[in-house]
Amino acid sequence: MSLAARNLTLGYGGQPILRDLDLNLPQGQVTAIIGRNGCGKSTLLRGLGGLTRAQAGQVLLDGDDIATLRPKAIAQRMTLLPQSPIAPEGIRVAELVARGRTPWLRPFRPPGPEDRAAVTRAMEAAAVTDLRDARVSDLSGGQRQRVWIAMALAQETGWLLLDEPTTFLDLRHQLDLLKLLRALNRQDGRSVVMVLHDISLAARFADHVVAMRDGLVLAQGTPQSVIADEILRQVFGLETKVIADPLHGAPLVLPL
Amino acid sequence: MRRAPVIAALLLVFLAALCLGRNLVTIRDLWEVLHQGPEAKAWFLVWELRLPRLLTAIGAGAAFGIAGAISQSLFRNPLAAPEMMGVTAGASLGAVAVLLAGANGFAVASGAVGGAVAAPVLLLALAGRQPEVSRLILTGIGISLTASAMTGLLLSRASDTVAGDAMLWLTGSLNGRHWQHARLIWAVLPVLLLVAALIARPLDRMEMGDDLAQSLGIPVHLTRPVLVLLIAALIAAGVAVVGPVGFVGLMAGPIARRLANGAGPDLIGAAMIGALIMLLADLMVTLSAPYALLPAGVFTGLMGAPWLIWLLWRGDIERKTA
Repeated sequence: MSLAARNLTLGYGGQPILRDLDLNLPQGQVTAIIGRNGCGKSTLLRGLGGLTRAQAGQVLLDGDDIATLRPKAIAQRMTLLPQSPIAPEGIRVAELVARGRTPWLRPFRPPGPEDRAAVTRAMEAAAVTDLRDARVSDLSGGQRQRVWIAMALAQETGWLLLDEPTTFLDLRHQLDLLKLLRALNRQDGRSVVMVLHDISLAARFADHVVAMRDGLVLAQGTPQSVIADEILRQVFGLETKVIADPLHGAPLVLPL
Repeated sequence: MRRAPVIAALLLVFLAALCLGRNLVTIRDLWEVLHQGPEAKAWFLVWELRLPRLLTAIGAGAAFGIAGAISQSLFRNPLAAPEMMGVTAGASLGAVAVLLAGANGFAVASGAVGGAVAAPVLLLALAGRQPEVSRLILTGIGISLTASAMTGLLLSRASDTVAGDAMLWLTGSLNGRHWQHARLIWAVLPVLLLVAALIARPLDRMEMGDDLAQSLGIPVHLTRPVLVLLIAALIAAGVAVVGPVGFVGLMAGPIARRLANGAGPDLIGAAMIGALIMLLADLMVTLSAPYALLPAGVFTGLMGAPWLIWLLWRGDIERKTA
């Protein structure tokens, strides 16, 4: 299971947002895409997930150009959770999580035992089993985000792509969510790719960091190699002093 | 949805509509019709007059109900109706144009079908290859208004008799519906129901937004035009037999959804509620004016408008747009 971009050019008609981008996403790891607002990181994620069509170049999923795959075939191998998904009015947690099974369902057939088992597993993994009968609209922001993660997990794909999963969460829930995602990655080897706003959180939770600016990948590699003074200056235009976090050893960014 | 009460209500209203009217038919008469066939004394009344009219009502109501429920999901708005896509206005324009040309009966129905199908084809052509929901709505409203204005223009040029006929047709009516109408709607309805059943799950997922639906494996950009054309076909089928009876689609979807007490569209429920509303309207027509039959469209409108106000009162619109 590999995911890569080759000479990828993406845009929404007119001027491309990403041009000629080459990227290999490490399998079985947590990758964070960082960069300033409008640098094209969400566009890259949408392109990787097949939501935005390549104007040129390719996205290769296990060597297959995703432009040649049907949406259902992509969805059986890769899950993309958009930034602020809309829950249908009145839906309950278990129902929403069950929608993650969509790419595995056959027309005219109700979900089978393997689908129900996948939903149960996903709710346990995301710690929302106790909420199964609650209405999604009644949940707090942190709970709701865990429910969306559970839906994404129920899809049972090797790749999990998340667009800013921590937005609108307070710090504690941001940490809880990232810990959850890393635990899922460590337990069953799912590859996680997420767009993150916060460099410190990316430094602490990612195995691989992709730093973008103006539609280009400026640097990629381990957090230690990417989250460094010179690269941060180029990516964010920030003067910083990066030190080793005394507790976890991850890079810790001190803005100057 | 708990279907049992709705099915019971359907049967009850169906039976009532068979029996009540200017001439009362008893249960015993119905029994005779079933067993003796054309020998029975109520045969003509039941078999030739009321049964085909009620079967037409059920078929058209189901078609309108499903078309409404699909529109509401497609536009992600509880108050959406096929009218917003110009389908109904197109059908009306087609029918009125044929009426003015001096034709009648089947030709008028054909004109309606032509208009109902032309409007969404035009809509899809104008809205672009991958239309956003808002663009679809605005283009649809544009087409609808244009078609209505052209209908008005045609009517202003018509003689009083023809204009009267046209106005009657435009309200929608079940009067004088015979086996040919019932056969027509029931010939196409099963095919459309099959397509609707196939499209129900993608439709449900598309309520969560295009991105999420697509990442769940739904081919959103292929599905949307299919949905638009399915709505058009359902409306065309219904309008061809009863005229543009209003408000059924608007009411059936939200009622079914409410009764289902779950998330997502309930197309079968909407079909049943649509049929129930048409039957009720027909029953009201017979009960209120046994000597001068009012068109059923008057009663669906009389029930539809208060329902619309009730929905507004319940704050659904605020919740949806918030």
